[in-house]
Amino acid sequence: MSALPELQRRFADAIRRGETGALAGEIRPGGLTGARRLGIYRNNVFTNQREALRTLYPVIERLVGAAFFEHLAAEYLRRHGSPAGDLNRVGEHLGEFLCGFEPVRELLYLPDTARLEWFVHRVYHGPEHGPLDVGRLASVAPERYEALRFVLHPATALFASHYPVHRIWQVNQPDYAGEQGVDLERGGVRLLVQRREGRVELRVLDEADWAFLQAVAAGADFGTACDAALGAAGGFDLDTALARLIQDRTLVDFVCPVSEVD
Amino acid sequence: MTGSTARRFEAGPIPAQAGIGLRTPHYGEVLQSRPPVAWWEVHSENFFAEGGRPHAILERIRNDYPLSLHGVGLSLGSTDPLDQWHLDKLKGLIERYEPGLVSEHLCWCSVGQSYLNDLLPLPYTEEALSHVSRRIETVQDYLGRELLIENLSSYLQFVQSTIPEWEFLAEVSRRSGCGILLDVNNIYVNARNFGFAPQAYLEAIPIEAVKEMHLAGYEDEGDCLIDTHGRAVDAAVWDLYAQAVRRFGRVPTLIEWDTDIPALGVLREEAARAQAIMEAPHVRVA
Repeated sequence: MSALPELQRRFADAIRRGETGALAGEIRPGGLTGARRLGIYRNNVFTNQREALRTLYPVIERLVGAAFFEHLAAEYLRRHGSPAGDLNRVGEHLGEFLCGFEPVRELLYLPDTARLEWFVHRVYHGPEHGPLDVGRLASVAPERYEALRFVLHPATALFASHYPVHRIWQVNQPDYAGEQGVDLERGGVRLLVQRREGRVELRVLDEADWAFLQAVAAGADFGTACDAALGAAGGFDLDTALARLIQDRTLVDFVCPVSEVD
Repeated sequence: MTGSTARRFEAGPIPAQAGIGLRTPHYGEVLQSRPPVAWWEVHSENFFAEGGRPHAILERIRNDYPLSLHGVGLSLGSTDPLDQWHLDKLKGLIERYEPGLVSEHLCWCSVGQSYLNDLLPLPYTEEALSHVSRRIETVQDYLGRELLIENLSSYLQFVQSTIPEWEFLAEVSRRSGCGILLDVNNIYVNARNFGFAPQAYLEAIPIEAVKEMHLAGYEDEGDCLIDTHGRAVDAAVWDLYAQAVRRFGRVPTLIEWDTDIPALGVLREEAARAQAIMEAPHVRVA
């Protein structure tokens, strides 16, 4: 007889739906009611998952307030649940969820702020990588440059929004002491999210750098990425840009599709 | 498994002394002052990500101290398939840090790949016993090392349970070959919540299987004790710990504190108290 899968399924349903009376027949009587006993678990489960969301989305919590965040977290968890035993993976879809969450419909910048926080989280915990080997790059024959495929640092994200989410993020950091106002009319932003000395930094990109890095991230070769940058802004200076992106470890490696030296 | 490869870290296996659960608020102080703590334990899942500051810190700490990995999310008792992503992350972490001990809980926390992220109790039946024992065996084979399995605090008992919790735990260890991480506070909490004698629990556990103990504080909600890890170890739990030490000898013992985390000094005082109990003259050196 396999009673275990059935019991676990019913237990999980009772916890998720808050139907703490539903499992009463399975719980040994005496002392507390079955509903109170399941209620303890329901509270533990929800507290653990909500606290994980709070840790991941501190800016969203500041923007909507702690009390409303609790409600928002409960609704999110009801819809998306938790995909892993590692609580760092809860909350990946919060941005998408907020798009359709009626009570915050008027806070147009909120979904993108959540997406940015998720990228910040990913970059904070992303893999390490050393700098690009410039000696190796120097040994590549110039006529091969166009075909090179540069590689972004693995702890990097590119993110664009119609709202100034970088300012929203900045002014809501615990150690931020500057000007508090955010002009929502100021328009969108293109961002490079990267990690420096263990801290996440947001860099505002101009159109050319954005086009170049987007192309690189999509796996384009250097020639194609340069064309994209030049198409976005005529004044794009390839050499300077490349040197800068290597020096600040935005680009950390390259792949040469054919032999690197003649 | 790693017998033939050179150890990367100077600090060796977990000593039979009192250690402390390492939590984020204390990272800075530990790195700066390198307090004389015998060993540290961290939650495995907090280091499943690949890089960044947490790993930079753990690398430095691991170099100077013995380290134990304690998991909360493997869901060993679930009837879902084992989560291969989780197993791979854990295996990678073990290779990276060469921990002295690796432990998990005798519980389940997922259904249909959706997680409840809490330590949920199994019904103590033959079906659950054979299921969880096989899973532990599979995981030990995959990781190439012994797991320690920890007993839970729980707030309900299932009607279908036919085996006392302590017999279930002992039998899981016999069948799977896993070690036991005996959480003395959890035994006390369950003894109070369900009305059994905690000494009977201790006596049912095979002496040689116990390779680590945990101590923590609970919250008394009036009708029920809740295992919150949010206060000092209770006097009655210290008494029970002394009895456990008399039975099981000197084994690595951890102070855990996870909510309302106090200054590191408070945790060190708790660890010193555990150490003093361990060093009592009549205690067998395991």
